[in-house]
Amino acid sequence: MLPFIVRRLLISIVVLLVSTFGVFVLQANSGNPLATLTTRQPPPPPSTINALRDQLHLNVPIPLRYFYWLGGVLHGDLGKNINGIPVKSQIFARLGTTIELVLVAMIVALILAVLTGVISAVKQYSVLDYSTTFVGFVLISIPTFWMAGLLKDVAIRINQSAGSTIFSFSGQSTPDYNGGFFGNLSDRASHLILPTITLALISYASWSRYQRASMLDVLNSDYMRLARAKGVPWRKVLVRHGLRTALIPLTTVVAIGFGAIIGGAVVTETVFDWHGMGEYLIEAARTIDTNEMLAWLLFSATAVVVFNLIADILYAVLDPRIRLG
Amino acid sequence: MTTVPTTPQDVQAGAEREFTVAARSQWQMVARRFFAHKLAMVSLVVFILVVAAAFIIPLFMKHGYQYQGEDLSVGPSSKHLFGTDSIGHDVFAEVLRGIQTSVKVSLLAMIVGEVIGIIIGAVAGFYRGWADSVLMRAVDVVLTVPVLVLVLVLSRLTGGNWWSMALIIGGVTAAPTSRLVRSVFLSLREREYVEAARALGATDNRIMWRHLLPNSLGPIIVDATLAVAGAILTESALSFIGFGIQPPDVSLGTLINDGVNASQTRPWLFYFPGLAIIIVVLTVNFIGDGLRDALDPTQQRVRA
Amino acid sequence: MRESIDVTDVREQDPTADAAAVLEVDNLQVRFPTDDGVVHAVRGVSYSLRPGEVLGIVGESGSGKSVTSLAVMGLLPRTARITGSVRFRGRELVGLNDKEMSGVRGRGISMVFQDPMTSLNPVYKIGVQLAEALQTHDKGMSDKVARQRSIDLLDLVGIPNARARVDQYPHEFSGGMRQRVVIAIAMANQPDVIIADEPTTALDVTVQAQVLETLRTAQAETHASMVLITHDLGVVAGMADRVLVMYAGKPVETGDVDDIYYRPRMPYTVGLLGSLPRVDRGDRQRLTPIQGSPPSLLNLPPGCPFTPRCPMAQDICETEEPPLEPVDGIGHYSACHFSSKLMAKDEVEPEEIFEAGASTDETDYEVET
Repeated sequence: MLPFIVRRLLISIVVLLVSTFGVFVLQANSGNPLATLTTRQPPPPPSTINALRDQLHLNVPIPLRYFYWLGGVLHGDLGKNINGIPVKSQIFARLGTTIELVLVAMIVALILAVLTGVISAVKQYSVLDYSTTFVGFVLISIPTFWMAGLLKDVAIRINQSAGSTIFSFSGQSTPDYNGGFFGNLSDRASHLILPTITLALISYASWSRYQRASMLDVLNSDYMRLARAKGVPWRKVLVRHGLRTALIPLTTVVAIGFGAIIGGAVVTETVFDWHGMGEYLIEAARTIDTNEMLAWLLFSATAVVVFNLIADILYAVLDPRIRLG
Repeated sequence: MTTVPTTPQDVQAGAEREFTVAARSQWQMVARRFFAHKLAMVSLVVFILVVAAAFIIPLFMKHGYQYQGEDLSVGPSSKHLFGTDSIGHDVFAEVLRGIQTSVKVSLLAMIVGEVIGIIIGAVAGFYRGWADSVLMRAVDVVLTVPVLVLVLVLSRLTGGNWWSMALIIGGVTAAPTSRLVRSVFLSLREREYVEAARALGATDNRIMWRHLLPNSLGPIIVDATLAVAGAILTESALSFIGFGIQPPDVSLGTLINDGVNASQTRPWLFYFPGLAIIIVVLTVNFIGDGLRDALDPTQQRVRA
Repeated sequence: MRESIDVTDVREQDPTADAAAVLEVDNLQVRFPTDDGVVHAVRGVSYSLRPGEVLGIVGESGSGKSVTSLAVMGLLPRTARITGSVRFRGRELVGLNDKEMSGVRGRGISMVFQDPMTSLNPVYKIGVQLAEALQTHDKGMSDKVARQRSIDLLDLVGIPNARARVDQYPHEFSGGMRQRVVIAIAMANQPDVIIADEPTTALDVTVQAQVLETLRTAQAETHASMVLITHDLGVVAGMADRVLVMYAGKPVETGDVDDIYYRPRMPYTVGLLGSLPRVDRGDRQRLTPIQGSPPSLLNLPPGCPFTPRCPMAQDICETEEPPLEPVDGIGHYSACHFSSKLMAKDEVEPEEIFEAGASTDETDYEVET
């Protein structure tokens, strides 16, 4: 397995280089980052503009600019954004925020998807099966940003009728709040719950369908039948032979869905005022801040690549027929 | 003596006693299965009605979606079916316009995405070798960036009109489509009829376009419907965060953006555009599910 | 609390049970509701299995032979409607819940399935799957003992280097070897009945012989009775004591293996034998295939289901389905209105009944009356 991992890592590095370069080129061509500066009233002195131009290497051809950036990265320097603030200082805090959101949402979605997928498959054609399938369809037809808005609206109404703030919908936690360990925890939880549900619900719906299909495949298999013919009771057969085998394809599905979750997080953070990577990206795109954008991409692409690698390894561990050479 | 049915014709006649079904062509069977899927049928009807309404009704409306009337921030009424916003726009007209945008963008995006995806996937899956490696590595690179992000970055390069958005979305979604087409071609090229065609002297091109492509239509059609649904969601998300359709034109995403913070006081601004998206996307998804059932009859449905 | 049912206890509880028959199937019927209507897959199968006996059930695809055995094991889908009676050592199996049936499966009656490539779970080692069979019915068995027993079983079925191979995965075994593992699993708990459902169909001819040999070993070791289901008459000839021929969900002839092969009394049986290439005959023969295909069990017309393909059919065959009636030979039954015609000859040559190689001919054929 080791040669496989090494090979994949090397390929991943190339992928990262190519994608960051590609985005770099696109960014560089999509507008003038100095525009916001030059149109300010009153306009800053030319020396300031020139200094910024030099700092952003705007006088130099695009590929060279990219190498300046790359060189900086290898020294641990992610450059400065348009306003001169080092990107590194901003991005890690935001990274933590988004990781919290994405991780919790994925775990929730995964557990729900496995439960409903398996139960739907076992009780195929029942009322439960049809209704969860229908609900699933509706959920994947709802845009993430609207779902976020909906939950926010409902939460406000619940808060109003209950007379207290059960759900918080702005930010990650109440600023300047200190209620001790449990107080802080419940505060964070009340802030976490709505964005998590938003992100989780939509991933859950599509994963649940895959899990159901995978489980159905397994339920009709010959080895399930043989296990029963051996005298193993149904429940045990279901878990030991059914679930164990049906979970394997889910690793691939989740790995593929990871990218979609990141995209969903971008929108969710906007609605709930979470100062995470999503908000950062939008701001970077708006101001055509190349360093911010590239830093974002670096982390996001790395996460995707690492995730896929873990998923592939996990698949090989779970399925002995796949041995990575 | 005997009236013995021993000739082949007699045997055939006897066997037909039990079979009262007539032979059907392949597409007839597909159609028959699709129509049996009630939800898909209902969705098809609803989808056609909604789309038709979106394009036809505005022709008969006195004022278009850009007209700013006097009624400001009024709730749903007989004059303004979905109410108005703070500048006097009629929300109903805006929603209809938004549906038009969604439909135009998603259909064009689907066509662009499918065509590019099929070409890339077919070449990669059929020829394999270094063409496959190069193409799939490129696809991998594209796939490491989330769809929304890629579209976001690309949208800065173009204007805010609907067809450039469609081109971008289509180009990006060509990546997962090419993956799908490639795997279908990979499995099909091993089939015996490919060998048979080669033995008869068919060229690569002929095999690809006359044999493999028609047989991969099933998964491709299903992928196309999913692409439509996805494109609608992507376009509206992009418009929601401000990088998509630009004012004065209107998209369901921009409408929701306007309404999201007013959902408490003026819910009609938020809920009507949202419901519009959901209905359109949901019907497309059900149609896709019906098509999937119709094109892949390997699942046996036993009455409960 | 012992979860598995001790089969000998049952026998002591019911003194009226026929001590001679291990498995008694009585008018077993199976119906499946489908989108197109109700499929009557099994239309009244009855047989009696004595200790140590091998019963061969023969029939084409769709004759209901596999469904019958799955019904005995209680492994049909929940939508199946089963009526009739299946008595194992005097105990009624139809209607038992899963827990009760699980006690019987793998211990009292075990089963070998058709496709060895998919019968074993790909993610578990062979030894684990064998141990599961053992430990399910003996909760107290330690892992160490189970492992040793598994190795012994693998040895018994002829897997070389069993001690090493017990830790391998199914995909590391060939088809024939996998089938032998499945047989090992089937015999693990010394069952009273082994049902083998087309055990050699999916295998190459050379491997078939090995697997049949393994089945013989299994029978010898466990002293079990066997139900051998197949469409291959050659397989049955070498192993069965009695034969049951099925057509369209019902038995059409049953008897001693010699009676069936040398003195068939039902045209379908004659046809089956005629379509079999015989190496033991010196002269060149033409094969006599039966024309047409088996009927759909969805809308079965009245009368004998074999009528459309039968060279001896008369009007009565289209209206009345012949019951299974005794013919010459002990325990020899046949379901045909005209078995007497076949009884007129001592040994029946298929070419006399079915016109040899008649698939392209258009001539009528007459049967002597």
